[in-house]
Amino acid sequence: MSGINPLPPIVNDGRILSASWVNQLSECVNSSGNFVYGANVAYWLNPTTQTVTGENVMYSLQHKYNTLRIGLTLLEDSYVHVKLSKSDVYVGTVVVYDNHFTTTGVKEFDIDITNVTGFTLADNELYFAYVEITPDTAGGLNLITMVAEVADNVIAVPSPELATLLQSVVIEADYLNALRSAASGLIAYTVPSSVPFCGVSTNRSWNSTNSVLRWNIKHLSQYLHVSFVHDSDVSDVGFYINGDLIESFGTGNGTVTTAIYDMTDLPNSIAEPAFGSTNEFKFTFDTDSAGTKDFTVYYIWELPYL
Amino acid sequence: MSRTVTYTLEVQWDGTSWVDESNFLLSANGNEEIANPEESAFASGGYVSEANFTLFNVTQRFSPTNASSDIHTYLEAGAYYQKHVRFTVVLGGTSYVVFRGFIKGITENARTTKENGSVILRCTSEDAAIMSKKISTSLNTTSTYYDQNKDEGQLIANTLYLCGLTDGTDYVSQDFGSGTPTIDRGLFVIPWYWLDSESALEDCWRLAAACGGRFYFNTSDGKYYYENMQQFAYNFGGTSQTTISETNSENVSPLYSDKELYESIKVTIKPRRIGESTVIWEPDEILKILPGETITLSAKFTSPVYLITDLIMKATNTGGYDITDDITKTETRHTQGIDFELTNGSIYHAFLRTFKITGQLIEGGETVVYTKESPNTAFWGSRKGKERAISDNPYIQTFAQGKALCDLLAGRQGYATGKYSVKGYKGTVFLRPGYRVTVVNSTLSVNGEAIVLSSSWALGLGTFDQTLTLFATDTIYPRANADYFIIGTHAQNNSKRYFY
Repeated sequence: MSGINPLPPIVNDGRILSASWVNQLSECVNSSGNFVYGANVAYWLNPTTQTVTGENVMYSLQHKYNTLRIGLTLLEDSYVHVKLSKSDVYVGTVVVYDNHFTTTGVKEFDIDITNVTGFTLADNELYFAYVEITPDTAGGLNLITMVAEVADNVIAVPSPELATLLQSVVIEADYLNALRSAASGLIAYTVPSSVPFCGVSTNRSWNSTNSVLRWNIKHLSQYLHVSFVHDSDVSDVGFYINGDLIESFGTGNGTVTTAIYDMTDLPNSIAEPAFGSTNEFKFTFDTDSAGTKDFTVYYIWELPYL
Repeated sequence: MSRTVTYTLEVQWDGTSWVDESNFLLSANGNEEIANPEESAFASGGYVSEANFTLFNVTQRFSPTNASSDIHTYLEAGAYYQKHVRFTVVLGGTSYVVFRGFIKGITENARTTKENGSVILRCTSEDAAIMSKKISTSLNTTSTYYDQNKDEGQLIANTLYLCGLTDGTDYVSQDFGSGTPTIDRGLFVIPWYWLDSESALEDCWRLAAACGGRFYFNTSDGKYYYENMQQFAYNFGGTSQTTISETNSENVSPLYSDKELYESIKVTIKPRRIGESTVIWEPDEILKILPGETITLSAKFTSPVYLITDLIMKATNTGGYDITDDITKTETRHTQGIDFELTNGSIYHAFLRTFKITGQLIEGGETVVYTKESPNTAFWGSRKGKERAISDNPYIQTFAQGKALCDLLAGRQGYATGKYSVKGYKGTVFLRPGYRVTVVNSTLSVNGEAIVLSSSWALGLGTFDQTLTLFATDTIYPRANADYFIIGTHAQNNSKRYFY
């Protein structure tokens, strides 16, 4: 936890309360705030109109929390399976979810991965999730919008809950130590994780309907950083947020394009998204029909600075 | 005031049973200091106590060369070294263990025509044994303690444990769970704790000094104590133990010196951080291991380590074939080094072509210097005083800690506080460093409380007395003890104050 100020120590009844203890607690809580709004990385939506099997799609996860949350947007009725494995070559999988969706739209479901027969994970252990979609009929674009471990009540409510202090209430060691524990609980969840951006390279044209160059990102920081490169004959590049055009780019020349957008002041009068809302970013472009010219996205992420 | 004095000198010759040698005792003397007398009395290194016992030796009982002595086997060829000694004095009906330690040396004055023979047992207190004990922390200890936010009391207890001392017997930690702790709850979390073949005792002194506390061996009960920065608000340091005056002392005089007088205090705070993963060690040359040979290899790192991320080893034989699998390796990981034992189980000469350790060092962060001037601006406005700089204590690691220590010392040592010298104290309470007492000299209009800084004691023919130096409590803390907010006692509307 480099960079987080340490907690103050445990206290005992009968001892004098020190200013340094109180100041240390304040410094500790304040410094944990620096980690909450770090780099916010976009998540690739893995769009497809075809059957998706575990041999096509694999998600690598490091086990931290007890619930695996899967988010989908289905445009076709589909069979969905989720399998887990400790191997990255689609062997030794354990099925943890099996359902036939007969309605389309946004789907989200949680899987308790602490209660899987024959599959036990240690803290921080690496494992692999395979999300398989078999549409009843091939057609509209299905999106895998989320594969993530989540925790309910990420920051635990102090137990016993911290009392409201009245002026006449004696401040006991139990109260101060509970305050300290609550700060410790806050810090425990501010360990920054290194989330990779899934860059995609493609050499065919994509339009706003079928583009596979789609990412979701939660709006937490002010500045959106984008970087991509496109070859000559790749033209009419459009960069969108939730279907609204942010910027158009001309024909490429193989040099990297980098752009930074102030989310509070987006081009084309696009309103700033709500804080914490999930927003879809996508690219569209035309390329020569020979499929020899590439478009590659390097990164899309939000940062709190330019 | 009359006072009955009796005494007992015992030696544990066989290592188990105490033998009363009082009948041979001619005289004794010893000393005890709150800190190294060469340094400031506060937030400094500690001091091992000493004592000398002069024994009547006309029968040569205590002569190591006398084969007829009952205790010859416990004396000859250095066998006397580190035999345990205990000296108890009864003053006015109350028994005090004045000294507890072991024999360091013997000075013999052989019998002559003019003098009966005598020996002097030169002794040091028991903490001297861990002065020379070098210990190293394991890598796991340093990283685990960082994650667990240990305070200085917990770290001191761990150092004592690493020495082979027993919690509950040689000391009582806060975590022991029963009995009265002798190790105070610490006031500061010390993020980074490690020892790299260092003296356990000196490290405990350093930790205590970094937090304004005191670590010492208590000859009274034979246990190790840590008292935190609030030591003069509780127990022996918080309440006057007795009154010293001309009725029970030969001389009670004020001392006027500037030894503990400073215009400002400057504390250097040295935070640390976890560095990036990098190669942290590899040998300077290619190591060769003969067939069947075992070599030891010590990798010493430039800084302590938080985490070892990888160890890459590749061994080849003379022909260049990889025989890494034939090299067996055992290792002991310390915070600042790893000791390896490498055994070549093949029939070939093995050359360690690659031997790289990668990991994350605990690197120095940005040093912060905090300075506080004495609050006594009226005094210093027309004077130039000394600055006390505390810059080389690696356990001052957070700003809150450094500030608290600096503010405490600036308030305590920024005034020309009264000091006292007491000679020939013959009271009914044996006084130790850190005790609070009341000092009275009606002739000089002295009447106030003070803390004992040093004590030397002497047993003579029918007498036992102490010589003391003391520091007036006027500026020990900026407020009277009763003004402070006590956890578990006071509420917000009790008009009490924070400590530092």
